[in-house]
Amino acid sequence: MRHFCASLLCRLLTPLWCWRIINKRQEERRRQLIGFVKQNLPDKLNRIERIISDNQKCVAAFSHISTELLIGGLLRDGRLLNNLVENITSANSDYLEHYRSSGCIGLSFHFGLFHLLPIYLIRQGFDVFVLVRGDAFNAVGPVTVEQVNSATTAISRQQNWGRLVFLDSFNLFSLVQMAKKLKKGGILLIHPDTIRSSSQLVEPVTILQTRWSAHVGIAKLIKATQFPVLSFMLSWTQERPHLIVESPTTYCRDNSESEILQGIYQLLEKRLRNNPDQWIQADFYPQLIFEEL
Amino acid sequence: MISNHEILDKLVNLLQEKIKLDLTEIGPESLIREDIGLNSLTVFELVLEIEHIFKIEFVEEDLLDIHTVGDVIAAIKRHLPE
Repeated sequence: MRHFCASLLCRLLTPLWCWRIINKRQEERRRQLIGFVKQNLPDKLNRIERIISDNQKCVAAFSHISTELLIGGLLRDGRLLNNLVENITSANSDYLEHYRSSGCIGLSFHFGLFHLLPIYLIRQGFDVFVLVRGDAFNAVGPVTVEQVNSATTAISRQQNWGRLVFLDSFNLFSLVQMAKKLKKGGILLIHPDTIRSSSQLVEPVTILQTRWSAHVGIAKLIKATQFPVLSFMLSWTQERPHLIVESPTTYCRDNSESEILQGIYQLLEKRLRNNPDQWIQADFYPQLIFEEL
Repeated sequence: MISNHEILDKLVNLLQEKIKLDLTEIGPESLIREDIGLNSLTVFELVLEIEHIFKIEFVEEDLLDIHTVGDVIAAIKRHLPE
């Protein structure tokens, strides 16, 4: 009985403990982020010569979905982000070199400066594919994923960077597209710590002793293609952003989808335990933890 | 060379295995999403199976214009030897 009570208490308190830390530090972190962005990307945004003058809707859409980090700056002028991205230090990024010519799946979750990760990687010459909801760019105006992709392709070509391609998770062939693209090399970035309407099938996993919903599609992709899985975190510190790349994990066809999902979400748990203040509440996470399943 | 009808038969068999539905009504005009109700997960598994059975490999461009079963048949035929 005593063991049961202790276990129950632990199950209840662990997520509450995480939330307490997250809520307490998040506003402070956000203020730091915005301050850093303002300092490094000053008011030139409105005056800068536009490289791609006919992509204003894309700029607006980008700015809308990641206003804090002004990713829209990429579409206005890639040079604007240089000040920000050049300050990034990295650890263990040697792991990445191999994946210039062969594909890998990067789990970045919604931690730290995850918005900047694609920009950082394409500047290093990697081809990067990012899975997004097809309506993510529609928040401001009717912009398609294809339009955004053509804009990023033009910028990459001009700057001699790697390609940045967004893949629409609503597309019936999204998983096939991911597999085909990765066969040619590059890094697929996914953020499996949110469950939204784009998820076709979910399965329960255990994190922080609570049940979460996990994307089955990711496990299917990993199982079928056997692309290695790397965990990324572009963390925010007072001084400068720091990229951590963890060693690759490879799954084989003998691994069940449940095993793969549990492995992926264990990475998330480790990340949450070590860096709760870096977790960006992009969605309504309390609901996810307490009401899911 | 394999006929459209033979390809359709193989596709229907595959679909019946995957989604466990009576697919007697399926024809080349059937829409993959709306009429058959496939989602991206099933489509992914089907594409892998199709590539395995027909010993072909789709390219990304094939995927752009696939909406119906007939489009799938046409894409398969493009990759089969004459």
